[in-house]
Amino acid sequence: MFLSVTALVITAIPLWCLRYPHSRALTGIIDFFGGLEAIRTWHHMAGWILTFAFAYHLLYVFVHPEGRRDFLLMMPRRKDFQDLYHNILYFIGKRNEPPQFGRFSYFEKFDYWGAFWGCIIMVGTGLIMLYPSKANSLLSAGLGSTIFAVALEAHYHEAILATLALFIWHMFNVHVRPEKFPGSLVWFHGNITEKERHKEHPLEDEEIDKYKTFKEQ
Amino acid sequence: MKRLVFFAMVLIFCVSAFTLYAQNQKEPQKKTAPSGVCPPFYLKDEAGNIIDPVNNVNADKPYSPKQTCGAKGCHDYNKITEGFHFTQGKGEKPTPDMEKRYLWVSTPGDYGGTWCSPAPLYRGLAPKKNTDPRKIDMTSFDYIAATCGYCHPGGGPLEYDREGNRYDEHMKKQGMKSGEENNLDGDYFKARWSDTGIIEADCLLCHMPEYNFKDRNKQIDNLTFKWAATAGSGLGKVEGSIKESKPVRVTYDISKFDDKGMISPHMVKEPRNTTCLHCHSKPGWKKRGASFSPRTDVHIRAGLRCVDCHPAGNRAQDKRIQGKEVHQIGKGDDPSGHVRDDLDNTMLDCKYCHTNGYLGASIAKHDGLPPHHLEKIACQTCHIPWRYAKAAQVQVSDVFNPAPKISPPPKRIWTFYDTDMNYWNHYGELNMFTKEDQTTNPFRPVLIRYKGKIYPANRVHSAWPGLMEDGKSGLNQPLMKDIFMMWQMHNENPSKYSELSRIVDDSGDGVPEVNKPEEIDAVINSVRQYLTDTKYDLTGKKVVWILNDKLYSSGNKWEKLPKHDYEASPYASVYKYSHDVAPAKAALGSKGCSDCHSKNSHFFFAQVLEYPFGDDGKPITVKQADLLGYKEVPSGRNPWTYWTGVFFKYLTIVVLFGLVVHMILDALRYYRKRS
Repeated sequence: MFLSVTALVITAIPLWCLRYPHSRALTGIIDFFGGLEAIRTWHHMAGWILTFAFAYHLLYVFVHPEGRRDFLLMMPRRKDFQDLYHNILYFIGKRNEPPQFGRFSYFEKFDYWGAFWGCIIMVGTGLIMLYPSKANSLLSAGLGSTIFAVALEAHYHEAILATLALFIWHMFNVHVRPEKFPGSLVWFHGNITEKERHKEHPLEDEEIDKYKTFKEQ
Repeated sequence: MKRLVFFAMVLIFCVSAFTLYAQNQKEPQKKTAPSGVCPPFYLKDEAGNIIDPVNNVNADKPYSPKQTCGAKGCHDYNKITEGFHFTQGKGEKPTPDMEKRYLWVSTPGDYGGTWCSPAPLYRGLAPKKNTDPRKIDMTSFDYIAATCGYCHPGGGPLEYDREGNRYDEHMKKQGMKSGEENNLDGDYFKARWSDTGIIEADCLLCHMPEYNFKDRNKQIDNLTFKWAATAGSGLGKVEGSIKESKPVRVTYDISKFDDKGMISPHMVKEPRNTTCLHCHSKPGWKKRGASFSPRTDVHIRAGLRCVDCHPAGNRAQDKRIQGKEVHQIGKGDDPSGHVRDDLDNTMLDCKYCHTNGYLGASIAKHDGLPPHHLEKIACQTCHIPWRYAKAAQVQVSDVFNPAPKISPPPKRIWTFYDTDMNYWNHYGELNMFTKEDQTTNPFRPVLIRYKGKIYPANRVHSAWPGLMEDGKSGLNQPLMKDIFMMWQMHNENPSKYSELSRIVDDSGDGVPEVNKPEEIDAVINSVRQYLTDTKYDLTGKKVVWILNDKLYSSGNKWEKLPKHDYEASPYASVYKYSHDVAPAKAALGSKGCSDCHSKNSHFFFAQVLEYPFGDDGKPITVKQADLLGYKEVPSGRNPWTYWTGVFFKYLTIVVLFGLVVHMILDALRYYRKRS
């Protein structure tokens, strides 16, 4: 996902330039990247990698017990909204302590669902644009150009939203945030230290301790 | 039981008898004559009398196509001559645009309209009623004699006046005199209809492949109008000339008649390409750089005929023009062609053949091409990436063109520049070359946005002296012959209209052009002086000079005229390109998207002509994308697309606002806590 999204963002830059075909400077960027066909090929390849990554994730969610468990834990709950409210009060100094999070904090859930929604939109609209005539016959015959135009518009705007969220919000939370800088490698190996868990996910930590105590008894 | 059987038998008998009776009562099938090929027939004269040269009956009379082909039981002459090829705009109202712009236009067609010249000046049809003979330019009679009749197939304005009277009969009935002023009637002023006769719709002109246009047009030159069909068909030889007051005599070719004096000439239902091109080739060259040859057109190379895409009658697909004897030929939609606009796009378009394979057409796939390309860009734009013969991109009518072989001399007031802005002696070339001799001059078409799509076109640029009239919108033109005579007199004696000597070549191409304030003043002053000298009443009129959409009342004072974005000038034509189509392998995009989407592409970055002459005499250009009105890819027009965009834009704003606020608060809290 890391590789595909990075490649998609980079190759999307000249494709974005295509929105202004009358600008010689922006068209020059397309030429710099090797022409539209080359860029499209790379973009499509990266798109397919993302599609397979997303498909793998869905499979993991449906098939693997841990996947199912984590997916259910990712579901938004009332506590998430309470945590957000609590956190804002904490930020502005009305509370002394931040909220205590379980396995997934509300902003991690936001990240997850942002990526989940983003994948659905980007993969769906991407496939429509890649196979317009098939999409036309499957979705609604005769609306080919409308469906294509809507897909193009959604793809374009969602790409901007996802990129901005990625480079501003995600980057801040996992890299730039003073407590996190320069970032953890949990995305790479999937492991978190007990110290980190204790600090960032105290409720999960508590739960695990209880489970251990229960097992020992 | 016996009674029951009896009744049953009676019932069966009655039903059988009734059935047999009913069958016999069916309408007998009508006998229809075998159709498609005309049986041998007699020629008839204008009065409907048989012409039989074999037995010397009426053999001194020219034949009448109307009486011969339109004889009872044969063809419906009146219905046929409703076709726009015959009417040439007669009886139609000019379009609202034309009414606003042209004071000399009375119909949208060649007859009374903007003629077949790309831009003024050209001869204007005189109004029906006139008060000043000095202002009468082209009468209906002149319309034929001034070579317009060379192409127009008869009928319509070549047969009936503007009130529906047959010219020759009306002239005799009203006691009008041949060649006299005849009440300054725009149809009869100095006309000789009573001698020349009229030109009926000449069926064989299109339906006889061997038709001899040269012999027919000779009759137009000789003013032997009613003999034209006989000469053109080759059925008889016509000698003599009304123009030269030599008695006119027809001698029929007996070898073309059978023993009974009937003929069965070689006639075809669908005209051959050569027939259509006889008239459409030359204007197509000047206006569009058209070649109509296998060398340049994939359709002609494939053996298609004009009528395959431009059908008429029962072969027409469009209900507007379909039907027996209906001679409305399927047509496209040219921005500057307004004859029967209601019949625009009645021809078979690209999509028709290239989606169902009609006549062996390849099925267009356009794999990988985003569909909005096909929605916003006309097929021609990509499939006519180049033109191979010169077209007149600029026609100015304010200087004298001294080049060789321009005939007749008044055409010397036209100076043409080709699509590369090089001087072009078009009429000299026409004099020397046929279309087979067109010089190869490849150029990329200018692209225009017309009715929501991008088309390749020749948007003609113009410069001409005009007349503003008090209280009237639009402009009038001085008579073409006046401007020619003004120059002619100046050339013979430079002290006459001496200001014209100020007009010199600034661009260095050897051809003088009007571009500087003193040159503009020279044209305006000289035209005013000439018209005054020759008693042209200028009361309520002002001489102006027009360059494209700039109306100059003097060298330093000008105002902009309203025009459509696709036009260079409200007073010059825009011709879309539809012929000389390249094969798919040579179309734009065949080498990939970069054919258009690269910084050197012609599609967006070509410099196209905006004004033919700037202050230095050099052309002023504009970026192609600017002419097409590109700001960004126009995707917001569809409501679905528009609202999708709105949804995502607001989603982005709301989400990012929330995230940024969260981040700032988070960071502030962190540093506050540390401090």
